[in-house]
Amino acid sequence: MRLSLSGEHTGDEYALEDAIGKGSGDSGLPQGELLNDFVEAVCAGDGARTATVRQKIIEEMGEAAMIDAAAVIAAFNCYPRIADATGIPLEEAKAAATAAMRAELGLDELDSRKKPGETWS
Amino acid sequence: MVDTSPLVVRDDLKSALTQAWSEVAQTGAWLSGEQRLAIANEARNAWQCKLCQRRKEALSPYTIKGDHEHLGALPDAWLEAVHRIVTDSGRITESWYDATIAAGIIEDEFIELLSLVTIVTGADTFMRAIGLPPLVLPATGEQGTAPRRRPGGAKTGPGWAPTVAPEDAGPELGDFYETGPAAYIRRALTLVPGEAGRFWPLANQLYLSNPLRVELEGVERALTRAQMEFIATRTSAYLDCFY
Repeated sequence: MRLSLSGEHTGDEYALEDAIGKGSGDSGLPQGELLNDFVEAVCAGDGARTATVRQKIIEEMGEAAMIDAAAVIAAFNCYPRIADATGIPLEEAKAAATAAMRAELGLDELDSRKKPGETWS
Repeated sequence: MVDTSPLVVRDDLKSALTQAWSEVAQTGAWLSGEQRLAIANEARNAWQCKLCQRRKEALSPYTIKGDHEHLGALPDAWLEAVHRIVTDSGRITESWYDATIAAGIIEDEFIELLSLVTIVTGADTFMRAIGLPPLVLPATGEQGTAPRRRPGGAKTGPGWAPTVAPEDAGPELGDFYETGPAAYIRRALTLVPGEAGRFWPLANQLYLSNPLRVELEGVERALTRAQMEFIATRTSAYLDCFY
């Protein structure tokens, strides 16, 4: 949950529930709604919507920002697949550090990372 | 393709993408160039598979039986692995992993397959997002024999597959653990050191070589750290992964 840590560092407040899909806003982030649209369009494989949002990002944030946003989307189409396919758990230190956030967001109810006897492995 | 585009892609990213792609159909540590090429083509084909689409829409993918629509170059267990990782990785379970291995994939082969599938999926996602056509795969794979040697120090854990922990790492992993954080996710591919060495240089440029950094001083990115993390979290959530 580095989004929260980044917010702590800068003094800004972001809505994590939006970032994991429980909310519908932009998490209070500059251009958050636009970036969210980009993620959804790309991940859904919606070419027309992707093209529209891509152009908006270029106009509002610049071409380099669009490319870096695309790169992060691509990276996070990789990491989850590797974690999910190998059962890689969250490190104990990270689990402890994010326990309150996970409880608030209901992440412990998800079973993809659980092992017998553990609430979050 | 990135080279001839009017878009200005960071040199380090362009270089990492070009390098990773040039190795897709090369002889691997456990798989031949032809096997790797077949996996790469199947990873792209999986999106068209009707069985995968029905499973994705089902409450549980494990209740839907049937045959994958495929290109005819891979055994059934390999097809299931490629298709599931591409189309529904968020609902993979330990039972699925065990069954896949029992059905005929050596764990080392599985890790190489996984690395390859994620590289192809990541590259395709990036190209689609920036509005360029997908990178072209070669018509044939490199001829050669994979050495098929497991590195020393490999033990099962921290997930379902064996990995090499930093304290057990031998010469096969070189400076892998000195050049980035020893997070569990970074350990995931270490059973096949060559694949860890293929995947992470690309991932480092797509995202960050050190995800532990809170802000981006000294790193060339046109987004803020918080914007990057927002995109990362939203994308992971889209894949039902909350790692």
